[in-house]
Amino acid sequence: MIRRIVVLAAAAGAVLAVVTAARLPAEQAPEADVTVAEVTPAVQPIACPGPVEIPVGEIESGDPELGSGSEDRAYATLGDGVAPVGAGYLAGGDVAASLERVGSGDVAGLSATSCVAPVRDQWLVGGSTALGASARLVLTNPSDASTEATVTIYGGLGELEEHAVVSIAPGGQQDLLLEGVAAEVPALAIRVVATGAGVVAHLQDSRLAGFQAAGTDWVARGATPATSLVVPGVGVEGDASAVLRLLAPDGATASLALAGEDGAVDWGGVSALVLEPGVVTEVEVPAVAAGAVEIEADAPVVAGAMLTVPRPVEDGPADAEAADLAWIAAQPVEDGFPRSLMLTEHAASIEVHASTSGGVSFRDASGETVASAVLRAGTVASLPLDLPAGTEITGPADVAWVVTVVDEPGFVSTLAPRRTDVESTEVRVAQRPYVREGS
Amino acid sequence: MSPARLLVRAIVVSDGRTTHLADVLASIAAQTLRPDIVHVALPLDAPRPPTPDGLVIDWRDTARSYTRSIGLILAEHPAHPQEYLWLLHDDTAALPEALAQLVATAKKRTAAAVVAPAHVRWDDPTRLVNLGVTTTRVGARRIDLVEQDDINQGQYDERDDVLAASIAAALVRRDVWDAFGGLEPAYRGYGDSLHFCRRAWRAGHDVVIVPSAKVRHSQDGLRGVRQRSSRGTDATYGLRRTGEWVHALAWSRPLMVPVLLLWTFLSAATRAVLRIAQNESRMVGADLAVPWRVLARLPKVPGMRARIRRGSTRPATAVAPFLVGTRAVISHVRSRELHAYDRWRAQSAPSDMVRFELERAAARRRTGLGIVVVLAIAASVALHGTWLSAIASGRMLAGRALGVTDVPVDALWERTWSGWSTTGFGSPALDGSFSALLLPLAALPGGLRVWIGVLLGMGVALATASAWFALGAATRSVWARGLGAFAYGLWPLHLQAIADGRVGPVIAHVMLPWFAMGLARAAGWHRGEAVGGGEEFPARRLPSPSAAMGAAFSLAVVVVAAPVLLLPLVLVVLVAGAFAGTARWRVWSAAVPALVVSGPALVAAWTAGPLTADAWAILARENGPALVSEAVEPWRIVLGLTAEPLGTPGLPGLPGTVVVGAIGLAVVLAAAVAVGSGRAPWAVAGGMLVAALGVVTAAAAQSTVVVTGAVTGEAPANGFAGPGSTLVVAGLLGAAAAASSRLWTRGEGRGRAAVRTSTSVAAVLMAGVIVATVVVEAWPGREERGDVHPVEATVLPLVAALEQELSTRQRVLVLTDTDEGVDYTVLESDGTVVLDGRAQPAVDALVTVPQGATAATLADTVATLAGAGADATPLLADWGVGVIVAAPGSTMIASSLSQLPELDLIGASEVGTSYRVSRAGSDVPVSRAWVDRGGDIVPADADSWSGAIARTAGGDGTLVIAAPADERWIAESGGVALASVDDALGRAAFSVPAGAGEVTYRYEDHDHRLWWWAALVTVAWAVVGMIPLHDRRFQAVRR
Repeated sequence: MIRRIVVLAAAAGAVLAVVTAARLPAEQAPEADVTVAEVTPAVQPIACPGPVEIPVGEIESGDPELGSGSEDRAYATLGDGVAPVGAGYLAGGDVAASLERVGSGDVAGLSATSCVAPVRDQWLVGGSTALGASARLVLTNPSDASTEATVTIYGGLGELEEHAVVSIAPGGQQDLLLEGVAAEVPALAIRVVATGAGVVAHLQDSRLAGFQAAGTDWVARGATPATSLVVPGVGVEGDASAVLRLLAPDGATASLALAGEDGAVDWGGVSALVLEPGVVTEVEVPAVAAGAVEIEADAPVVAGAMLTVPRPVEDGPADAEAADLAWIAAQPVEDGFPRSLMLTEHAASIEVHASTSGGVSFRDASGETVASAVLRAGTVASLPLDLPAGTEITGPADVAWVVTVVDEPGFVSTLAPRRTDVESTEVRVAQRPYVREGS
Repeated sequence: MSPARLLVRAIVVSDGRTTHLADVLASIAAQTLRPDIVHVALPLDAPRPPTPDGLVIDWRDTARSYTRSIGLILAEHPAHPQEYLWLLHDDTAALPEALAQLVATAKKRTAAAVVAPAHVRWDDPTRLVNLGVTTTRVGARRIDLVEQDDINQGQYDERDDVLAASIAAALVRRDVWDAFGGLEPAYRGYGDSLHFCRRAWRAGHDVVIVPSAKVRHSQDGLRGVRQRSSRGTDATYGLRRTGEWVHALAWSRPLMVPVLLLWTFLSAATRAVLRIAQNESRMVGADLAVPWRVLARLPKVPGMRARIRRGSTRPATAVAPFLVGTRAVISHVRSRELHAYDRWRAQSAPSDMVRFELERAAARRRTGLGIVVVLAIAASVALHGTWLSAIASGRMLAGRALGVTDVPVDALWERTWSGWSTTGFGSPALDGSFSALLLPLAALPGGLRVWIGVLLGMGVALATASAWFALGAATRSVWARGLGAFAYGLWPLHLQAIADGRVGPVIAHVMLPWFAMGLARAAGWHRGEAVGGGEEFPARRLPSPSAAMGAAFSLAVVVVAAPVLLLPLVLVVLVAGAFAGTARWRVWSAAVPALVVSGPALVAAWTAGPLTADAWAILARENGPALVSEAVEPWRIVLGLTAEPLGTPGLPGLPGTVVVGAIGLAVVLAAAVAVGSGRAPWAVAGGMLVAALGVVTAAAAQSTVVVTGAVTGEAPANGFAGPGSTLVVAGLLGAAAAASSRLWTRGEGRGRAAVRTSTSVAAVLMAGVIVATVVVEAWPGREERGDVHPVEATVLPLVAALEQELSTRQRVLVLTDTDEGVDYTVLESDGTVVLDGRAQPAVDALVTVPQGATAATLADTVATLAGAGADATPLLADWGVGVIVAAPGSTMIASSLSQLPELDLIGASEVGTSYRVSRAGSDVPVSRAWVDRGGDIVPADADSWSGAIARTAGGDGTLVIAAPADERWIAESGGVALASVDDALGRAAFSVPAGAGEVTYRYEDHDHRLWWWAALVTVAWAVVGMIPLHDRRFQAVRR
């Protein structure tokens, strides 16, 4: 009997242990130490890509009417302390820009671009390698160390298997014709990841419509993937059209809104746009005189817009159509940093979009206001400019803006402002054991 | 020309402490030939026995010694020409014919100085005790010419001349006695007969034994009865052994004396080890005391040697034929052992019937073991065969928690010996026991790489085999043992520990069954083989001291591998000892090595406040690989489950809990049936309590943060539930197995049939669960449980690894790109080493580690490097980091490093890109320690915890050790300790005066060293003691 009781008592003890052990207060192990350090990279000079090139090489037919090239070329480099690097150049100051006007030939049009500093990771939304289009990626390394850039290409079917790895010597420049990497991709987005101090990437988008130039412009880098973006300056008039190009690296649902001068403009069917991961999506933007696309997404996206401005054909079949195009990259909303740019010739207006109500004013280097307006939240304004080339203008923080460059006979381009402070990057440093990965 | 008549003077000397004196006197009276004169020396205060009829006794007082007492008597009685002394002890009683036969022989052998009788047992005259003695050529071992207790069948009746015989009850010629001055006092009564007889031979006399003359001898002196000792012959062992050495010293050639003295120490040490192996711990002291006793008697040796020299007329070679050589000694020892063995066999020999059953059981057992081992190895191969083939092809296992496993012996040795952990920039360590545990594996051929691979790859098979043997103590059923062993080997948390590379819990799981078996056998609780109608053989199981030592050793291993088990298992030992009856001290001794090995932790826990959470965190520490693991509910611990068990790809409908928990469920059911059955109540109750202890231990462990990572930057982690869960399954299986014992033969008729049917069904079900578990766990495509994987043994680029090996002992900083930044680690050796044991930052608060410029500063430096910023490298050089390696594929960090002009690219390979760090403003390579004399730098020849800097010229300087300052760093120059100075970076630094010679430094932790030796001694004691030398047969025949 006693034995029986002992056994049952022991079993009861075991059950009791299970019950009481559940009540032990558990101490939560803290997370491993991670040091988040702001790393301020050495200030690197800004760089511009240089003149545009005729994609298939200069074809001299002997007849200026038929040749691809043009006698009517004007190329201006603006900036302080300009030093050549490859075909392009470096500039010492905070801002610099280049403007090129090609009057005729395959690459006729205005191509303006702001010079930018190298970064390690950048997205360029724009370009095409469809028949008649050429996408020439110009990678400039203004730093003193060589860098290796990995170019990942996204198209309408998602991320392409083909990618390119380009080594760029210190102070060197490399061209990459994307049609040689991934042909027949009508809508491109490019990600360039570079080592070291990074790289400056510009994409020359040149198009032909039969024998007629259909426009050339530089695609500049836009905002890094974010859930809230604005593409300013998408206002078009007449036959001109605007197309928004979107890409969500990991997929997202985005809703688009078009802000006009008097507030939101009707735009049906874009309230819940499903973006498949890595798939480049194009959306036609309704034509308004002045507008900006506001993008809100539930996951990070990148975006850019292309303006196409047709013009009468000077010399060709009646139904032929010539055009020029301009790319505008998306800008982050309210990141709290002012941006600056250097004006070129033919700078026509500042296209500004405000997310909050209030006055916006643009100043030159001496601090004088050169343009100003009072805007309500979610509206845009077009502020005409009449300032000499080489003027540095700085906009207020928390607005998105671009400068449009316009010239006869229907040439357009844009200049995007850049942050002039040195962007410090956040580095997460953690300790972890090191063994080789399994093979 | 034999003389007409001899005078026999009988002298009995007694110290009055014997009960045999009356018998002795009666035997004298009963002699067919009575002695002429009888003297009895007895202390005046001792009670006088009655004088037998017809015997005239001259009562005398005794003197201080035996010889002196005789001398007093002889002084009053002048020598007769033919006088013989019959020297009787108070425990020797001659049989009636004895004196007549001795006298007859003495008459014939006139040259005989000693005529000795055969000694027989007091209680059994047919058993021989002594029939002459000899010694070896060296003389340090007394050889009896008959075995103790040999039956006298007249086989020795032809014996006459011997080298020596016991003087007790022997006739000794009075003139020789007088000439020699009696017995040699230096022997203190043990070995003096041999000496006397040997002198007699050398002096031209003979020594004759008379086998037909028998004297009963109760050997009171030998057994220490006079000192009221109950230890038998052990009581006088030390004195006898000392006597043997004194004999050797007295009779050896003069040049041999120092050699013999040295030999005494060697012999004592060897015998002490043998005593430990025989678990005669009290005799260790006796053996170790012998050389010192010999030294104490050394002053008397020259006198003895002089007397021998003066009295000798025959050369030393005269006695040579009597002396025996090595072969005879071996044969003597062997026959003694065989004799003991025979007696044991005679006592415990089974009947033929039983023997037949035992043979059948043994055959069944062997077959069962063979099948279990083969299947267990097959299961291991099915689960981790890829690991084993990788190990065979020269690769090693590695993992996030496991680190690299190709750890060299010297790294483990330095870690355990110095008490300095090299993780990060180094830190004081609580103890070095985990390194010490793995050191033997690293020393085996193949090194730690192979043996950790075997341990993990074969972890299931090892645990299964261990459990098989342990379950043998609970049940003799081959089926129950086999199924239980597999349930133990395939315990889900054991599989998890293997897959995670948690070496400690794996070792604990493998070793715990051995501890359990040792404990059961130490207390004599193990089952005998079932024979006949429910009987066991042997019927009475004796507690085994060797098993207790085996349990002690296993427990020490278990608590080093999984310290959290110290408290519960010591508690188990204490309780078990309390129930173990006479074996209690043996059982309790099983806890000693574990407690000593855990000494530093116990002290630290006590210092932290004995009953605080901090103390528990120290006791529950994890010494080896540890991982962050989610705390689970206690019922999951009982089933051996993790928080989210993996399901089976083939059966998506079945939750992982059911798939993985099936074994646990089966074990719990078996234990529940055991409780319900009421069989083997004490064992079942014990098992349930152990299981309860396991649940509480596991729950308490996982509710405590045991890896803080404060020093090393490791991810903080809670304790692992595995060791506690091991205790649970051990308890439940033990209970179930004990209850299942002899179930097959239980009951009668239909009852028996019912029992047999249900046990068969249960066994088949259990086997099904086991097979299903192996299939599920080995299912191709099933997600891995952990991240242990085989990799190439070379982790770092060769240039970096070489710098670590050089005398400058540069550290290597390895940087790896991540999505958001960079990960780093500082390496002392080729890859992250976890297996040398955690330094135990849990006790940092107690050992006060100055963490000047370690983790945080280093992280900032790494961030600077990642951003290609300037001024990062001086700090690295200051801390002895000589090489930076960008891990393969980490192109971002590699390009950042390439931009830094102060770094030199020294190589790029598939295992990483290496950059050399240089000292600011000096060409001297970066080193672990150096002397800086105003910019004139001399690097040290260093290892991980000590080093030396050659003599240098120059003025005052500073010795800088690139390790955190600690008061236990010591630097010396020419035997003079150097003064420590404060270092801005928190490193250990010392001022070196101008003109100082060679400078040496080391980390010296006295407490650590003390515990280290104590642990070594106790564990070595347990290891030697667990050798089952003589165990059972000595137990049987001696007690």
